Amino acid sequence: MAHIPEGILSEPVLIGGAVLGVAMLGYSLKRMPAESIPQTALLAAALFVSSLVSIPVGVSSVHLLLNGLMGIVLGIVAVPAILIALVLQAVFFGYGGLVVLGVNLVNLALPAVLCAVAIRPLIHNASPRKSFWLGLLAGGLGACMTGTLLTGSIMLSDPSLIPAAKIILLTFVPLMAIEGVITGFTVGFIKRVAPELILPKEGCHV
Amino acid sequence: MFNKTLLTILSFLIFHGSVQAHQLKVFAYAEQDRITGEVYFAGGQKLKNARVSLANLKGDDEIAKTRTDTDGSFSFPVNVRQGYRISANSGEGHVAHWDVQMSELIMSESEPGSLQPSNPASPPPMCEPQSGKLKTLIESAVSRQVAPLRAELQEVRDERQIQDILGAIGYIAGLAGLGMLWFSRRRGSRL
Repeated sequence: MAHIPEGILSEPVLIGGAVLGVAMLGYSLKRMPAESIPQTALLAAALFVSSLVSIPVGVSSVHLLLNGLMGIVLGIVAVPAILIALVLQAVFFGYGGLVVLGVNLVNLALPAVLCAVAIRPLIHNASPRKSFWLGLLAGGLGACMTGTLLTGSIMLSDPSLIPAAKIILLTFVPLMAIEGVITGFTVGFIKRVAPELILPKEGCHV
Repeated sequence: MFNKTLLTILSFLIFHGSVQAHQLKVFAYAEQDRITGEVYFAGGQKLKNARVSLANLKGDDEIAKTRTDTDGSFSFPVNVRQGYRISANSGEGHVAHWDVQMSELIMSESEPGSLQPSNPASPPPMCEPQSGKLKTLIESAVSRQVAPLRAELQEVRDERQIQDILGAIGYIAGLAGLGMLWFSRRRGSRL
């Protein structure tokens, strides 16, 4: 689960998440090139749909996060894409909620931005084969960081939830593998078939 | 080949029936002097061994707590006619609430003194106690019959509809269009 429902987090965490989320969004929107809109919308839709499919893991369940992929393809523009998917999920299905939107946004978008900074520059000149491995890394890292941020925000809010948070973190281990493989294949596929889908460096780099 | 795989995956994602959700739901109804209900994830998967607690609607401390059994159901005996709030917690960060209003509760023994004839020795005039008792009986029978219907209605309401998914994708397309319009306007004004 990557959507923290309402009523779990404490106010300082909520406010911190909202402030950080707004800052990231502002920075990203300012640097968003017009050419990035179709890709942004496509990946927002992909995130929206993929979050509806959850895979049971032990007592909990996980779903695809795709934030590594978004960081690679969109760079910093991943932030508004994730925001739109989260808002629609909250409004349509009641996942997460509008109060926890900031925290959920940061938990998903911060790893995406970090992938954009660390791995994205390498992808542009990489061969499809090498892109697979870089995508694998980005997907795994994205899931790993989101899991850490998620459990971190739960633990900070309520120390009594630490055992539960540890269980959630465990469910992210298989997710990291799934996420890595899917992101790897997708990035390799994009590189081979339509490399122009990955937004160019200029304009979208951080 | 890749396109075919992608299509298969996409259609699986959209149309597969076992698409499950994360959202925890609790549904409860009053049945005479019990509150019965079940805990499940939106989409229908029942949640066993979830913590369920009962409190009144004023927000006081919890009155009772229990855990759901293997089919996700739970039951609380209640003895005060008031509104109740049922909270379910899956233990890993999912919480859900359900309110049972006072009007739903029909106690077999209503408020003390309201139904009991003050003087049992004298014959009841106009059979008033009997009609009171009959009313309680009818109300509890009706609520028992209606309860599964209400549960089913709630389930239908919680089901994710394909329209919602398509609608949201439409929103995203619309937002993208707005964004493009905005960018093109801005670019146009610069020229």
